Amino acid sequence: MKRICGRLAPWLLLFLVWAVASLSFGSDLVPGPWRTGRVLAGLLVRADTWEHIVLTLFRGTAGMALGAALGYILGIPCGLSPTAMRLVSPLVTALQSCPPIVWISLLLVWAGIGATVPVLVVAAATFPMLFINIAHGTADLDRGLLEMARMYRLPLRRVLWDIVLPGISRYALAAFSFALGITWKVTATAEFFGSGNGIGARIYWASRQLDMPLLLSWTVIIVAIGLVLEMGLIHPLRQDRRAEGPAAGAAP
Amino acid sequence: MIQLEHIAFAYPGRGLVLADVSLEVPAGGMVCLCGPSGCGKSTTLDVAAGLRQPRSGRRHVGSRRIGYAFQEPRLLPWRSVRENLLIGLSGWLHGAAARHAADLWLERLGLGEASGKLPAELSGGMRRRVNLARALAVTPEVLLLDEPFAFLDAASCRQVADGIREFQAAGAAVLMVSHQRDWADDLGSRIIELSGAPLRVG
Repeated sequence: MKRICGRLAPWLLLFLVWAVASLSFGSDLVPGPWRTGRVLAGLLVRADTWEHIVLTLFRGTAGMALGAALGYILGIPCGLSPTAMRLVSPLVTALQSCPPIVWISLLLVWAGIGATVPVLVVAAATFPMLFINIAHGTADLDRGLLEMARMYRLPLRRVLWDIVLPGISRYALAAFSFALGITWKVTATAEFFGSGNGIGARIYWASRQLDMPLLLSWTVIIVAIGLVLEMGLIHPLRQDRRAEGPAAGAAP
Repeated sequence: MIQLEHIAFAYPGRGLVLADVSLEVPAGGMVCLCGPSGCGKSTTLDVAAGLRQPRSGRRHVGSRRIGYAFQEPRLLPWRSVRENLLIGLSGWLHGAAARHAADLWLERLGLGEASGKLPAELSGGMRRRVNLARALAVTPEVLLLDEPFAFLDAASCRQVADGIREFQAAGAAVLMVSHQRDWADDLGSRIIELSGAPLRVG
């Protein structure tokens, strides 16, 4: 009982602040939790709402998958070869300091409005951190194991599957949880500017209409998606790792 | 056959570890290097294995089929004992032949019970035996052994010695580093006494 109260407390606090803000600035400017809740409930029973949600989820996932694929394909060789690392690393740092808005502008010109922009922007935004973590994880691999692989002439497939991937999983997981956190923000931003559908586009639409309850409802939806994925996917994975961590990670 | 001729070796940015090492192990022969810790014995094995490039000198090894039991076991912590052996074999054997070789050597070194366990669940001596089993399972033509008898009980030492003797009889060249001179003598090995760094042999 005490634990449930402890968990609910921050949310009650949020609702309290929200309600006070609504009362002090007026319901037109800041619709209260009650009014927003009613609009949100109305949204959630409509099929097209779920279409937008699924579209955003799909674009975010596809973008992150693309960023991760590039992160692995470039990160592992760079982790193994200091020369490759010196060549690629400054470029990745440059990419990392490039704000998503630049990618959105460029891609809108190159690719036009549609799904391409959000997917590629998410890939560009998540790639650097995935690359850096994967490259560092690979560089930190136990050299003794790699020498063993060389000695016993393990096929490349074996080296990747049995030594490199399990060896860097800790680093990769940290990078994925961070990347997942920014994925929905970047997807929504890209949709806001460059797409006719998806959550970001709905937020754009609501803001153009100055429909504050609708705007806040979509905000609640995207925050909920982030929370559910973090709590439902990353959290259990990390717990799992910690449980097996010290034993499996111990040097023989 | 293992041939090292006038090998000189230094780790990057450090002094010479091996100054001038020459030795030869013919097919079916066995050489044991004895000497104080840190005199370059393990480095000599690494050079023979081809894992370290000598600064000068010539290395010739008659076969690429090398079993190397490292000083520290070098097992994959996230794979079971049996999988570790199968992975070690994957460059040479596949499918049923690989499974047969792995199970045979696990059994022979008294690791049958441990085959499904992770390395972290084993004692230090058992991990050393897995390392040896991996080296023997590849049916090596060149066998490099770094302290194969260290931390093993008498029964395990005998199992390991039997395995080594078998491959030697089949024509493998065996180069080992050991403090256990009685076992080296028992195997009929030529013993090279080493002293002082940088190492000079031959």
